[in-house]
Amino acid sequence: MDTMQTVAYMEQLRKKCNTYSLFSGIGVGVMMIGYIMADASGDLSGMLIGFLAMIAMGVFAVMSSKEKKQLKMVYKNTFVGNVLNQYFTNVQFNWEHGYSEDAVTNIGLTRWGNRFKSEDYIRGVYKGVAFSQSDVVVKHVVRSGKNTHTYTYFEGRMFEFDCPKTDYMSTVLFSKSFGYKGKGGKFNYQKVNMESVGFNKDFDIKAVRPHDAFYILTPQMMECITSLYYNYGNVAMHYAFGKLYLAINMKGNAFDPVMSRPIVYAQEVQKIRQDTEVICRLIDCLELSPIQ
Amino acid sequence: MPFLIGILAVVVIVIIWYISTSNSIKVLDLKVQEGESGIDVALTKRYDVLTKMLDAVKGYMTHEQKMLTEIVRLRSGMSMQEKNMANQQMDEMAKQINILAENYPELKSSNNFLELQRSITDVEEHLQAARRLYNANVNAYNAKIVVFPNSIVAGNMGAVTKVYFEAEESKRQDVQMTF
Repeated sequence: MDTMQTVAYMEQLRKKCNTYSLFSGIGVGVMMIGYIMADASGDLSGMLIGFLAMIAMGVFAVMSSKEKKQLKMVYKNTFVGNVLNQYFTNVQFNWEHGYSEDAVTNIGLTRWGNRFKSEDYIRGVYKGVAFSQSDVVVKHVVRSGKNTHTYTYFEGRMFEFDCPKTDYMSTVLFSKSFGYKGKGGKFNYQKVNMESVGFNKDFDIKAVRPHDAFYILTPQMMECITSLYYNYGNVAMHYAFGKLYLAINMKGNAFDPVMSRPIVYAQEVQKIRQDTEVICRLIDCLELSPIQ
Repeated sequence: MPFLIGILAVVVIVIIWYISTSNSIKVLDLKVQEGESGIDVALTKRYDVLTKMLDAVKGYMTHEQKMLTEIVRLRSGMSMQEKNMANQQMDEMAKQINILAENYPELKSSNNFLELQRSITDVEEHLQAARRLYNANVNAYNAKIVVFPNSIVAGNMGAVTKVYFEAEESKRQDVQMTF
Protein backbone atom coordinates (compact mmCIF):
# COMPACT_ATOMS: atom_id res chain seq x y z
CA MET A 1 0.00 0.00 0.00
CA ASP A 2 1.51 3.36 -0.95
CA THR A 3 1.27 6.45 1.24
CA MET A 4 -1.85 7.90 -0.37
CA GLN A 5 -3.66 4.59 -0.12
CA THR A 6 -2.64 4.37 3.53
CA VAL A 7 -3.95 7.87 4.18
CA ALA A 8 -7.26 6.95 2.50
CA TYR A 9 -7.44 3.80 4.64
CA MET A 10 -6.79 5.84 7.82
CA GLU A 11 -9.50 8.31 6.83
CA GLN A 12 -11.88 5.37 6.41
CA LEU A 13 -10.96 4.10 9.90
CA ARG A 14 -11.46 7.57 11.38
CA LYS A 15 -14.93 7.86 9.87
CA LYS A 16 -15.90 4.37 11.04
CA CYS A 17 -14.63 5.15 14.54
CA ASN A 18 -16.61 8.39 14.67
CA THR A 19 -19.73 6.69 13.31
CA TYR A 20 -19.58 3.91 15.90
CA SER A 21 -19.00 6.52 18.60
CA LEU A 22 -22.04 8.41 17.39
CA PHE A 23 -24.19 5.25 17.47
CA SER A 24 -22.84 4.47 20.90
CA GLY A 25 -23.84 7.96 22.03
CA ILE A 26 -27.31 7.51 20.54
CA GLY A 27 -27.54 4.20 22.39
CA VAL A 28 -26.84 6.00 25.65
CA GLY A 29 -29.62 8.46 24.88
CA VAL A 30 -32.14 5.74 23.97
CA MET A 31 -31.14 3.75 27.03
CA MET A 32 -31.81 6.73 29.30
CA ILE A 33 -35.15 7.45 27.62
CA GLY A 34 -36.15 3.80 27.96
CA TYR A 35 -35.34 3.72 31.67
CA ILE A 36 -37.12 7.03 32.26
CA MET A 37 -40.20 5.65 30.43
CA ALA A 38 -40.06 2.46 32.50
CA ASP A 39 -39.69 4.48 35.67
CA ALA A 40 -42.54 6.84 34.82
CA SER A 41 -45.11 4.39 33.44
CA GLY A 42 -43.97 1.18 35.11
CA ASP A 43 -44.08 -0.37 31.64
CA LEU A 44 -41.60 -3.19 31.05
CA SER A 45 -41.23 -2.32 27.36
CA GLY A 46 -39.34 0.82 28.37
CA MET A 47 -36.98 -1.36 30.38
CA LEU A 48 -36.51 -3.71 27.42
CA ILE A 49 -35.74 -0.79 25.07
CA GLY A 50 -33.28 0.56 27.60
CA PHE A 51 -31.60 -2.82 27.97
CA LEU A 52 -31.27 -3.35 24.23
CA ALA A 53 -29.95 0.16 23.80
CA MET A 54 -27.37 -0.55 26.51
CA ILE A 55 -26.18 -3.63 24.66
CA ALA A 56 -26.03 -1.68 21.40
CA MET A 57 -24.10 1.10 23.14
CA GLY A 58 -21.59 -1.44 24.44
CA VAL A 59 -21.15 -3.12 21.08
CA PHE A 60 -20.65 0.17 19.23
CA ALA A 61 -18.25 1.41 21.93
CA VAL A 62 -16.13 -1.73 21.53
CA MET A 63 -16.18 -1.43 17.74
CA SER A 64 -15.24 2.24 17.92
CA SER A 65 -12.38 1.45 20.29
CA LYS A 66 -11.12 -1.30 17.96
CA GLU A 67 -11.18 1.01 14.94
CA LYS A 68 -9.43 3.74 16.92
CA LYS A 69 -6.68 1.36 18.01
CA GLN A 70 -6.17 0.22 14.42
CA LEU A 71 -6.12 3.83 13.25
CA LYS A 72 -3.56 4.79 15.89
CA MET A 73 -1.31 1.89 14.92
CA VAL A 74 -1.37 2.70 11.21
CA TYR A 75 -1.08 6.46 11.86
CA LYS A 76 1.94 6.16 14.10
CA ASN A 77 3.70 3.61 11.92
CA THR A 78 3.13 5.80 8.85
CA PHE A 79 3.93 9.26 10.18
CA VAL A 80 5.68 9.27 13.51
CA GLY A 81 8.65 6.98 12.95
CA ASN A 82 9.74 8.77 9.76
CA VAL A 83 9.56 12.22 11.30
CA LEU A 84 11.44 11.14 14.43
CA ASN A 85 14.27 9.73 12.34
CA GLN A 86 14.60 13.09 10.57
CA TYR A 87 15.25 14.91 13.84
CA PHE A 88 17.00 12.38 16.07
CA THR A 89 19.49 9.53 15.99
CA ASN A 90 19.29 6.13 17.69
CA VAL A 91 15.52 6.39 17.71
CA GLN A 92 13.36 3.83 19.51
CA PHE A 93 9.63 4.34 19.30
CA ASN A 94 6.93 2.23 20.92
CA TRP A 95 3.48 3.74 20.58
CA GLU A 96 1.68 1.16 22.72
CA HIS A 97 3.82 1.52 25.82
CA GLY A 98 5.27 4.42 27.77
CA TYR A 99 6.90 4.94 31.14
CA SER A 100 6.05 2.35 33.77
CA GLU A 101 4.18 3.28 36.93
CA ASP A 102 7.37 2.83 38.93
CA ALA A 103 9.27 5.17 36.61
CA VAL A 104 6.60 7.87 36.89
CA THR A 105 6.55 7.47 40.68
CA ASN A 106 10.33 7.87 40.83
CA ILE A 107 10.17 10.97 38.64
CA GLY A 108 7.99 12.40 41.41
CA LEU A 109 6.21 15.09 39.42
CA THR A 110 2.60 14.03 39.84
CA ARG A 111 0.25 12.95 42.56
CA TRP A 112 -0.60 9.27 42.31
CA GLY A 113 -4.10 8.06 41.39
CA ASN A 114 -5.80 4.76 40.67
CA ARG A 115 -5.89 5.07 36.88
CA PHE A 116 -2.68 5.17 34.90
CA LYS A 117 -1.99 5.16 31.19
CA SER A 118 1.21 5.78 29.31
CA GLU A 119 2.06 5.45 25.63
CA ASP A 120 4.22 6.87 22.84
CA TYR A 121 7.58 6.00 24.36
CA ILE A 122 10.35 7.69 22.39
CA ARG A 123 14.04 7.34 23.05
CA GLY A 124 16.69 9.09 21.00
CA VAL A 125 19.61 11.47 20.79
CA TYR A 126 19.43 15.12 19.70
CA LYS A 127 22.64 17.16 19.33
CA GLY A 128 24.42 14.54 21.43
CA VAL A 129 21.88 14.75 24.26
CA ALA A 130 20.15 11.48 25.12
CA PHE A 131 16.48 11.76 26.01
CA SER A 132 13.26 9.81 26.38
CA GLN A 133 9.67 10.92 26.54
CA SER A 134 6.20 9.48 27.03
CA ASP A 135 2.58 10.57 27.14
CA VAL A 136 1.26 10.01 30.66
CA VAL A 137 -2.23 10.21 32.13
CA VAL A 138 -2.84 9.84 35.85
CA LYS A 139 -6.40 9.97 37.17
CA HIS A 140 -8.19 9.19 40.36
CA VAL A 141 -11.70 7.77 40.20
CA VAL A 142 -13.83 7.99 43.31
CA ARG A 143 -17.17 6.25 43.56
CA SER A 144 -19.59 7.30 46.24
CA GLY A 145 -22.97 5.70 45.98
CA LYS A 146 -24.41 6.48 42.59
CA ASN A 147 -21.92 9.23 41.84
CA THR A 148 -18.52 8.83 40.23
CA HIS A 149 -15.95 11.60 40.28
CA THR A 150 -12.84 11.53 38.16
CA TYR A 151 -9.93 13.74 39.09
CA THR A 152 -7.24 14.19 36.46
CA TYR A 153 -3.96 14.66 38.26
CA PHE A 154 -1.79 14.74 35.19
CA GLU A 155 -2.40 14.56 31.46
CA GLY A 156 0.53 15.48 29.27
CA ARG A 157 4.08 14.61 28.42
CA MET A 158 6.98 13.59 30.61
CA PHE A 159 10.58 13.78 29.56
CA GLU A 160 13.91 12.53 30.81
CA PHE A 161 17.17 14.16 29.67
CA ASP A 162 20.80 13.54 30.48
CA CYS A 163 22.02 16.58 32.36
CA PRO A 164 25.59 17.83 31.89
CA LYS A 165 25.65 19.21 35.45
CA THR A 166 26.00 16.35 37.90
CA ASP A 167 27.22 17.89 41.11
CA TYR A 168 23.83 18.56 42.73
CA MET A 169 21.25 16.99 44.98
CA SER A 170 17.54 16.73 44.31
CA THR A 171 15.94 20.02 43.26
CA VAL A 172 12.33 20.43 42.16
CA LEU A 173 10.34 23.20 40.55
CA PHE A 174 6.58 23.40 40.03
CA SER A 175 4.53 26.13 38.40
CA LYS A 176 2.11 27.42 41.03
CA SER A 177 -0.99 26.19 39.18
CA PHE A 178 0.46 22.73 38.43
CA GLY A 179 -1.77 21.27 41.13
CA TYR A 180 0.99 19.37 42.87
CA LYS A 181 3.88 20.61 44.96
CA GLY A 182 5.91 17.47 45.31
CA LYS A 183 6.29 15.13 48.21
CA GLY A 184 9.48 15.11 50.24
CA GLY A 185 9.66 11.43 50.90
CA LYS A 186 13.29 10.55 51.59
CA PHE A 187 14.42 14.10 50.62
CA ASN A 188 14.44 16.92 53.14
CA TYR A 189 13.58 19.87 50.91
CA GLN A 190 14.00 23.54 51.74
CA LYS A 191 11.99 26.23 50.01
CA VAL A 192 14.16 28.49 47.86
CA ASN A 193 13.38 32.05 46.73
CA MET A 194 15.29 33.14 43.63
CA GLU A 195 16.31 36.73 42.94
CA SER A 196 13.47 37.29 40.51
CA VAL A 197 10.20 38.28 42.21
CA GLY A 198 8.28 37.41 39.04
CA PHE A 199 9.80 33.94 38.89
CA ASN A 200 9.02 33.28 42.57
CA LYS A 201 5.45 34.41 41.89
CA ASP A 202 4.99 31.82 39.12
CA PHE A 203 7.00 28.91 40.50
CA ASP A 204 7.66 26.99 43.72
CA ILE A 205 11.26 25.86 44.03
CA LYS A 206 12.55 23.41 46.60
CA ALA A 207 15.99 21.89 47.02
CA VAL A 208 17.85 19.65 49.41
CA ARG A 209 20.66 22.22 49.17
CA PRO A 210 19.58 25.78 48.27
CA HIS A 211 22.95 26.29 46.56
CA ASP A 212 21.96 23.67 43.96
CA ALA A 213 18.84 25.62 42.98
CA PHE A 214 21.03 28.62 42.10
CA TYR A 215 23.60 26.36 40.40
CA ILE A 216 21.00 24.79 38.13
CA LEU A 217 18.61 27.71 37.65
CA THR A 218 20.82 30.25 35.94
CA PRO A 219 19.12 33.50 34.78
CA GLN A 220 18.97 32.10 31.22
CA MET A 221 17.42 28.89 32.51
CA MET A 222 14.80 30.82 34.47
CA GLU A 223 13.93 32.77 31.32
CA CYS A 224 13.59 29.52 29.38
CA ILE A 225 11.37 27.92 32.03
CA THR A 226 9.15 31.00 32.09
CA SER A 227 8.76 30.85 28.30
CA LEU A 228 7.94 27.11 28.47
CA TYR A 229 5.28 27.87 31.06
CA TYR A 230 3.66 30.59 28.95
CA ASN A 231 3.88 28.59 25.71
CA TYR A 232 2.91 25.10 26.83
CA GLY A 233 1.15 25.38 30.15
CA ASN A 234 1.94 24.06 33.58
CA VAL A 235 5.49 22.86 33.98
CA ALA A 236 7.32 20.84 36.62
CA MET A 237 10.96 19.81 36.77
CA HIS A 238 13.03 17.51 38.92
CA TYR A 239 16.83 17.49 38.81
CA ALA A 240 18.29 14.38 40.39
CA PHE A 241 20.84 11.64 39.80
CA GLY A 242 22.43 13.36 36.81
CA LYS A 243 19.09 13.64 35.01
CA LEU A 244 16.52 16.28 34.33
CA TYR A 245 12.90 15.12 34.49
CA LEU A 246 10.33 17.44 33.06
CA ALA A 247 6.54 17.25 32.99
CA ILE A 248 4.30 19.48 30.93
CA ASN A 249 0.64 19.30 31.80
CA MET A 250 -0.60 19.93 28.26
CA LYS A 251 -4.02 18.59 27.44
CA GLY A 252 -4.35 16.72 24.15
CA ASN A 253 -2.27 13.77 23.03
CA ALA A 254 0.93 14.25 21.16
CA PHE A 255 1.53 12.02 18.14
CA ASP A 256 -2.17 11.05 17.95
CA PRO A 257 -4.59 11.64 15.08
CA VAL A 258 -7.17 14.34 15.61
CA MET A 259 -10.47 12.53 15.31
CA SER A 260 -12.54 15.62 14.58
CA ARG A 261 -10.84 16.53 11.28
CA PRO A 262 -10.06 14.64 8.06
CA ILE A 263 -6.64 13.06 7.77
CA VAL A 264 -4.59 15.02 5.27
CA TYR A 265 -1.02 13.89 4.70
CA ALA A 266 0.72 17.30 4.81
CA GLN A 267 -1.31 18.44 7.80
CA GLU A 268 -0.54 15.31 9.81
CA VAL A 269 3.18 15.49 9.04
CA GLN A 270 3.14 19.14 10.17
CA LYS A 271 1.40 18.16 13.42
CA ILE A 272 3.90 15.39 14.13
CA ARG A 273 6.77 17.80 13.40
CA GLN A 274 5.33 20.28 15.91
CA ASP A 275 5.01 17.54 18.54
CA THR A 276 8.59 16.46 17.82
CA GLU A 277 10.01 19.97 17.84
CA VAL A 278 8.86 20.37 21.44
CA ILE A 279 11.67 17.96 22.36
CA CYS A 280 14.20 19.91 20.29
CA ARG A 281 13.09 23.20 21.78
CA LEU A 282 13.41 21.83 25.32
CA ILE A 283 16.94 20.59 24.75
CA ASP A 284 18.02 23.86 23.10
CA CYS A 285 16.35 26.06 25.69
CA LEU A 286 17.38 24.22 28.83
CA GLU A 287 21.13 24.46 28.18
CA LEU A 288 21.44 20.70 27.83
CA SER A 289 24.65 19.59 26.18
CA PRO A 290 26.35 16.25 25.62
CA ILE A 291 27.85 14.73 28.72
CA GLN A 292 31.68 14.89 28.51
CA MET B 1 -10.53 45.91 85.18
CA PRO B 2 -11.28 45.42 81.45
CA PHE B 3 -8.97 48.34 80.80
CA LEU B 4 -6.17 46.58 82.64
CA ILE B 5 -6.80 43.37 80.76
CA GLY B 6 -6.68 45.32 77.50
CA ILE B 7 -3.35 46.88 78.41
CA LEU B 8 -1.97 43.49 79.42
CA ALA B 9 -3.10 41.96 76.12
CA VAL B 10 -1.36 44.72 74.13
CA VAL B 11 1.83 44.25 76.13
CA VAL B 12 1.79 40.51 75.57
CA ILE B 13 1.21 41.00 71.84
CA VAL B 14 4.10 43.45 71.60
CA ILE B 15 6.39 41.08 73.50
CA ILE B 16 5.44 38.17 71.25
CA TRP B 17 5.97 40.34 68.16
CA TYR B 18 9.35 41.50 69.46
CA ILE B 19 10.54 37.96 70.16
CA SER B 20 9.27 36.67 66.82
CA THR B 21 10.90 39.51 64.88
CA SER B 22 14.15 39.07 66.77
CA ASN B 23 14.15 35.35 66.01
CA SER B 24 13.42 35.85 62.35
CA ILE B 25 16.30 38.37 62.08
CA LYS B 26 18.60 35.81 63.70
CA VAL B 27 17.42 33.08 61.30
CA LEU B 28 18.04 35.34 58.32
CA ASP B 29 21.47 36.18 59.71
CA LEU B 30 22.25 32.48 59.93
CA LYS B 31 21.21 32.04 56.31
CA VAL B 32 23.55 34.87 55.32
CA GLN B 33 26.39 33.18 57.20
CA GLU B 34 25.57 29.90 55.48
CA GLY B 35 25.67 31.69 52.14
CA GLU B 36 29.00 33.26 53.05
CA SER B 37 30.50 29.89 53.86
CA GLY B 38 29.29 28.69 50.45
CA ILE B 39 31.26 31.54 48.87
CA ASP B 40 34.33 30.56 50.90
CA VAL B 41 34.10 26.98 49.66
CA ALA B 42 33.67 28.11 46.03
CA LEU B 43 36.54 30.63 46.26
CA THR B 44 38.83 28.01 47.76
CA LYS B 45 37.99 25.57 44.96
CA ARG B 46 38.63 28.27 42.37
CA TYR B 47 41.91 29.15 44.00
CA ASP B 48 42.97 25.47 43.94
CA VAL B 49 42.12 24.98 40.28
CA LEU B 50 43.75 28.25 39.25
CA THR B 51 46.91 27.24 41.14
CA LYS B 52 47.00 24.02 39.15
CA MET B 53 46.44 25.93 35.89
CA LEU B 54 49.21 28.30 36.80
CA ASP B 55 51.57 25.37 37.35
CA ALA B 56 50.58 23.97 33.96
CA VAL B 57 51.41 27.23 32.13
CA LYS B 58 54.42 28.47 34.12
CA GLY B 59 56.90 27.26 31.58
CA TYR B 60 55.31 29.42 28.92
CA MET B 61 55.14 32.65 30.89
CA THR B 62 57.30 35.74 30.57
CA HIS B 63 58.50 37.55 33.65
CA GLU B 64 55.86 40.28 33.18
CA GLN B 65 53.12 37.73 32.97
CA LYS B 66 54.37 36.06 36.15
CA MET B 67 54.03 39.41 37.89
CA LEU B 68 50.45 39.75 36.76
CA THR B 69 49.53 36.35 38.12
CA GLU B 70 50.72 36.74 41.67
CA ILE B 71 48.52 34.37 43.56
CA VAL B 72 46.19 35.93 46.07
CA ARG B 73 46.43 34.15 49.38
CA LEU B 74 43.06 33.23 50.79
CA ARG B 75 42.87 33.22 54.56
CA SER B 76 40.14 32.64 57.07
CA GLY B 77 38.27 35.62 58.51
CA MET B 78 38.45 37.74 55.36
CA SER B 79 35.75 40.43 55.10
CA MET B 80 33.36 40.41 52.17
CA GLN B 81 35.20 43.34 50.58
CA GLU B 82 38.46 41.40 50.82
CA LYS B 83 36.82 38.34 49.28
CA ASN B 84 35.47 40.54 46.48
CA MET B 85 38.98 41.82 45.82
CA ALA B 86 40.49 38.33 45.93
CA ASN B 87 37.86 37.13 43.46
CA GLN B 88 38.57 40.01 41.10
CA GLN B 89 42.27 39.25 41.23
CA MET B 90 41.52 35.61 40.42
CA ASP B 91 39.46 36.85 37.45
CA GLU B 92 42.50 38.74 36.18
CA MET B 93 44.68 35.69 36.69
CA ALA B 94 42.26 33.47 34.78
CA LYS B 95 42.16 36.01 31.95
CA GLN B 96 45.96 36.11 31.71
CA ILE B 97 46.14 32.31 31.63
CA ASN B 98 43.60 32.15 28.82
CA ILE B 99 45.42 34.83 26.81
CA LEU B 100 48.63 32.87 27.24
CA ALA B 101 47.00 29.62 26.14
CA GLU B 102 45.72 31.31 22.96
CA ASN B 103 49.34 31.93 21.93
CA TYR B 104 50.50 28.34 22.49
CA PRO B 105 48.29 25.84 20.60
CA GLU B 106 50.14 22.84 22.03
CA LEU B 107 49.35 24.05 25.54
CA LYS B 108 45.75 24.83 24.66
CA SER B 109 45.15 21.38 23.21
CA SER B 110 46.88 19.38 25.95
CA ASN B 111 44.59 17.01 27.86
CA ASN B 112 45.71 18.32 31.22
CA PHE B 113 44.91 21.93 30.28
CA LEU B 114 41.55 20.99 28.74
CA GLU B 115 40.61 19.10 31.89
CA LEU B 116 41.59 22.11 34.02
CA GLN B 117 39.53 24.41 31.78
CA ARG B 118 36.49 22.22 32.30
CA SER B 119 37.12 22.24 36.04
CA ILE B 120 37.47 26.01 36.14
CA THR B 121 34.20 26.45 34.23
CA ASP B 122 32.37 24.22 36.68
CA VAL B 123 34.01 25.92 39.66
CA GLU B 124 33.05 29.36 38.33
CA GLU B 125 29.45 28.23 37.88
CA HIS B 126 29.41 27.10 41.50
CA LEU B 127 30.89 30.43 42.55
CA GLN B 128 28.14 32.26 40.64
CA ALA B 129 25.55 30.10 42.39
CA ALA B 130 27.12 30.77 45.79
CA ARG B 131 27.20 34.50 45.04
CA ARG B 132 23.54 34.56 43.99
CA LEU B 133 22.43 32.57 47.03
CA TYR B 134 24.44 34.79 49.36
CA ASN B 135 23.11 37.97 47.75
CA ALA B 136 19.51 36.66 47.88
CA ASN B 137 19.94 35.95 51.61
CA VAL B 138 21.56 39.36 52.20
CA ASN B 139 18.70 40.99 50.33
CA ALA B 140 16.12 39.25 52.53
CA TYR B 141 18.07 40.16 55.68
CA ASN B 142 18.56 43.82 54.72
CA ALA B 143 14.90 44.13 53.67
CA LYS B 144 13.85 42.70 57.05
CA ILE B 145 15.93 45.02 59.22
CA VAL B 146 15.44 48.35 57.43
CA VAL B 147 11.64 48.47 57.44
CA PHE B 148 9.73 49.96 60.32
CA PRO B 149 8.93 48.66 62.96
CA ASN B 150 11.46 45.82 62.51
CA SER B 151 14.18 48.48 62.44
CA ILE B 152 13.53 49.09 66.16
CA VAL B 153 14.24 45.46 67.01
CA ALA B 154 17.22 45.39 64.64
CA GLY B 155 18.62 48.53 66.24
CA ASN B 156 18.38 46.99 69.70
CA MET B 157 20.12 43.84 68.45
CA GLY B 158 22.89 45.85 66.80
CA ALA B 159 21.96 44.39 63.39
CA VAL B 160 23.33 46.36 60.44
CA THR B 161 22.90 45.94 56.71
CA LYS B 162 25.29 43.51 55.09
CA VAL B 163 27.48 43.89 52.04
CA TYR B 164 26.73 42.09 48.80
CA PHE B 165 29.25 39.95 47.00
CA GLU B 166 29.67 41.95 43.83
CA ALA B 167 29.69 40.69 40.23
CA GLU B 168 32.97 41.08 38.39
CA GLU B 169 33.48 44.66 37.21
CA SER B 170 34.29 43.58 33.65
CA LYS B 171 31.03 41.66 33.37
CA ARG B 172 29.06 44.71 34.48
CA GLN B 173 30.46 46.90 31.73
CA ASP B 174 28.69 47.10 28.39
CA VAL B 175 29.95 44.63 25.84
CA GLN B 176 32.23 46.34 23.33
CA MET B 177 31.29 45.29 19.81
CA THR B 178 34.07 45.54 17.27
CA PHE B 179 33.68 44.75 13.57
